[in-house]
Amino acid sequence: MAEMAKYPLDDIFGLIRESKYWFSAQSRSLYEVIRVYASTNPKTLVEAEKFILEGILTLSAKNFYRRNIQWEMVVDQYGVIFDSHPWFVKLAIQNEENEAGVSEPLLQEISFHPPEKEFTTTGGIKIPAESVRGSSYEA
Amino acid sequence: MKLKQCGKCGNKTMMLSKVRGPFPWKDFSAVTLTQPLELLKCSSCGELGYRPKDAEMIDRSIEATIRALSGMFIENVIAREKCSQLILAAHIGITAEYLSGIKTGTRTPGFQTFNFLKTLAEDASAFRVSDPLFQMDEILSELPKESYEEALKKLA
Repeated sequence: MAEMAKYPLDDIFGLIRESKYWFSAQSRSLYEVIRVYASTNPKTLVEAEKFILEGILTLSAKNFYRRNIQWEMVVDQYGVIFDSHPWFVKLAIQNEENEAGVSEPLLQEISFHPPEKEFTTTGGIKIPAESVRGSSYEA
Repeated sequence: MKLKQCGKCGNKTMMLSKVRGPFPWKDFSAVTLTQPLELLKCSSCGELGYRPKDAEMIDRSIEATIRALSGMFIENVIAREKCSQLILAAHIGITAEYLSGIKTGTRTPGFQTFNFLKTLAEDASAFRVSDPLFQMDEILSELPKESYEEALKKLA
């Protein structure tokens, strides 16, 4: 039986629509989107964030790649071709206390960057690797 | 203070800290802010985390920094070279109207214009060299004839 995502996409989409999310590694998400488009369609951080959220909202079960354990946390990995570019996506949902001290689910966006190596999603979508990666500047 | 888990190194050492960058932004590979912002930063690896609305706050600070610095660069060059905005615009390859917008802080230059202004402001010799007519006869005499002919062929 094929492996299933731990976090239902409907839950992920709902958290995005409620603005209950955060980005836990800029160098692997917003900064990568800015880098990819720097020469062709330069993006601000707000535009990069909007782009990533729109990209996540296009995900379907066909885009699921695999579950993984990262630092004792289950993460779901996806691959998607969005705006004609291949992207590797890594997400998790964790319960965190809000400002009122109440525990509530929060989407953790960990990665949204061009893939380092080619992979195929469980739905048969081939996600090619990007040939050149990395920035001269580490933030 | 509540610590969050860093998505890069995995340590639970991400907390609100004062950060000035550098941030990539549009075609700028690295912008350092004039004033620090309070953002989630991993004390182990230095990675930043963003919450909703953080990006908007950073964008504003980045754009204000670029505009303020650009205005300062223009004023410094004009004061040092005692030239008009029209002359400076010709050195950079932009219109005088656009330069005026940058100087008054109503326009945000792209990276190339910003970096050119920075170079002109920090290096007096760069202003002389950036004159479109600077030593053009000598420079043209150095150009191999074949290179020109090759370029011409590619235009055909």
